[in-house]
Amino acid sequence: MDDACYEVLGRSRRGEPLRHVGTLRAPSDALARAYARWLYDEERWLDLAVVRRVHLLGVDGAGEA
Amino acid sequence: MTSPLAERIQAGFMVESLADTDDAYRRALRETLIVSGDTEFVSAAVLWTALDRAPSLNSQMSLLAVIQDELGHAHIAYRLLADLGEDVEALVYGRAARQFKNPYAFDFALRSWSELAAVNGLFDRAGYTLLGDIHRHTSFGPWKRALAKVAKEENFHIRHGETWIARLAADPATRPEMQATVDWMFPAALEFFGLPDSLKHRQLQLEYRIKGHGNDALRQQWLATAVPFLTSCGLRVPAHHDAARGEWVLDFPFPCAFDADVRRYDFTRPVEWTAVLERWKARGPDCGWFVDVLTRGRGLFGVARG
Amino acid sequence: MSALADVLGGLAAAKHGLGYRLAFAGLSAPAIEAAVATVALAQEELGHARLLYASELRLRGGGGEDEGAVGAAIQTAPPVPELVPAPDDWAQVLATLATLDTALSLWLETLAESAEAWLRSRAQRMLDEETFHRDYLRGWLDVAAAEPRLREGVTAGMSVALARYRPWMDALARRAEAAGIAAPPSGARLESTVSALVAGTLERREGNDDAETVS
Repeated sequence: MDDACYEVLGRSRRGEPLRHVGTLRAPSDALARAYARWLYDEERWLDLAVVRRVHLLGVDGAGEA
Repeated sequence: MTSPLAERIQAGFMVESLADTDDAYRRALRETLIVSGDTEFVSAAVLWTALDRAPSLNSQMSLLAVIQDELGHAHIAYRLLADLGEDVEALVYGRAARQFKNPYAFDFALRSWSELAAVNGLFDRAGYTLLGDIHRHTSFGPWKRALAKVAKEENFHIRHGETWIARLAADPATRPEMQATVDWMFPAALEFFGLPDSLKHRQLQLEYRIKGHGNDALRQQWLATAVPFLTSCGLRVPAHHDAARGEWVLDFPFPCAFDADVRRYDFTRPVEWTAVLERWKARGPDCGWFVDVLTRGRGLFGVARG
Repeated sequence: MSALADVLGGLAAAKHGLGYRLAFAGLSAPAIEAAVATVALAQEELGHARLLYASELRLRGGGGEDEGAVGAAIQTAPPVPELVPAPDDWAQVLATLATLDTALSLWLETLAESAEAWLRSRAQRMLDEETFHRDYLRGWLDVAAAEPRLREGVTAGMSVALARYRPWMDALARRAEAAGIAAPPSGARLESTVSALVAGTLERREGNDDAETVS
């Protein structure tokens, strides 16, 4: 079973930033969404999203060396 | 001699990625994460053995919520290990059962709802003490942030356990069983904190601030809430607070002999820690069963366990 | 009212059995993420069982407004264990979800059209949660489409399950008709709904790009 790594982002309340809340592995976007809902149910999220880790592009030299 | 990284960490440096670490840090962190992951993972199986003991549909649903949380906590530790380069597939699905690093007390199936109550009220309290210390003090940023969820949920588990312990202790029909449960699970919970500091060699976990306090201090923290709670329920607890010494003192020799067949600590037979380590190494009766239940589903994808 | 109460009781017993079996089978899921999801599903199904038991009680004139009180009085073991046998493996978990969970959703859709407003809103609440169960199941059927052993096991499991649930659906439908419910879901409708589900997932041909699987 080929799984991809997904980052999970959530916003608890209006006015708060969208923050990183965890990661998970899933074989599809559909299962990633399903898993995020139940893995991270410690809060009632205003927004919860998943994105494949490969789509996060680091920016070199942006900050601390 | 303290490493440059340890010095930076003692001055407040937070580790955010593999690139920030050195070999010793990675070793200490890996070991701590594996113990945490295995403990949470196997605890889900322990709790699972009490599903049919739940007194009602409501209490079964509450227990399922706890099981769901513990699996989620295991997931956190294993995912962090994967991000540190660990082969988590081999770790979770490739090790023999006896290689899992959960506490000895999690090698035992639950025989009653009072044992379930004590797992939540006493063992989860130990877990919360250990992980709460890490959450507050750890130098490893990703774990510190991930533990916010764990702390919140473990608190709920402790409250769940306390509610049931109080209820079972208050009922004359169930009090004797609740007392018998506390008689073995109180000392078993003390073992969660491992060897006393005096027997530990160089403590990389403290030097690198993987955790904030040593085993002795954490055991004291646990006693400080467990003993008053159990006493408030009218249960006998073999420990008291010594005001003159400013610490909690056990009223029995610790460690002492444990009979796994009848689940009884023998306070008349003190033993050395070497004997305890041998007992832990020999594993408890349900170790193999638990790991099999938790990992057999992976066989579907052609992964066989070692 | 007693015919409708019988239907609700029958559905409650089925949800109870489903949740109970998922609770035990969940721990042996093929991945920790799936174990978390399956145990969560089990809780939701048991919650639905509790709501349906409370609804049945209400119709029989015994209160049933307080779900919590109802749940405190119900034993953990399902009343009709043979209706939902314990799944032997993950393929059977998926087969059970594909058949029984689908059957129960068809019934909830019918109840969501009920003449009783309180029953309509309860059914809709459960249907809203079933949306996520459906997404989860579809995700796994897509995985099974690409894994021959799993696909074979699910297909065989569904065949056995449909043979069990078709007559159960028909018996419940007859009771529903006695309660004045028009066109309640039958065994035949279950079969065609499951076929459509499977055609879009498990039996998807190569080259169909509908599913967003990870390459």
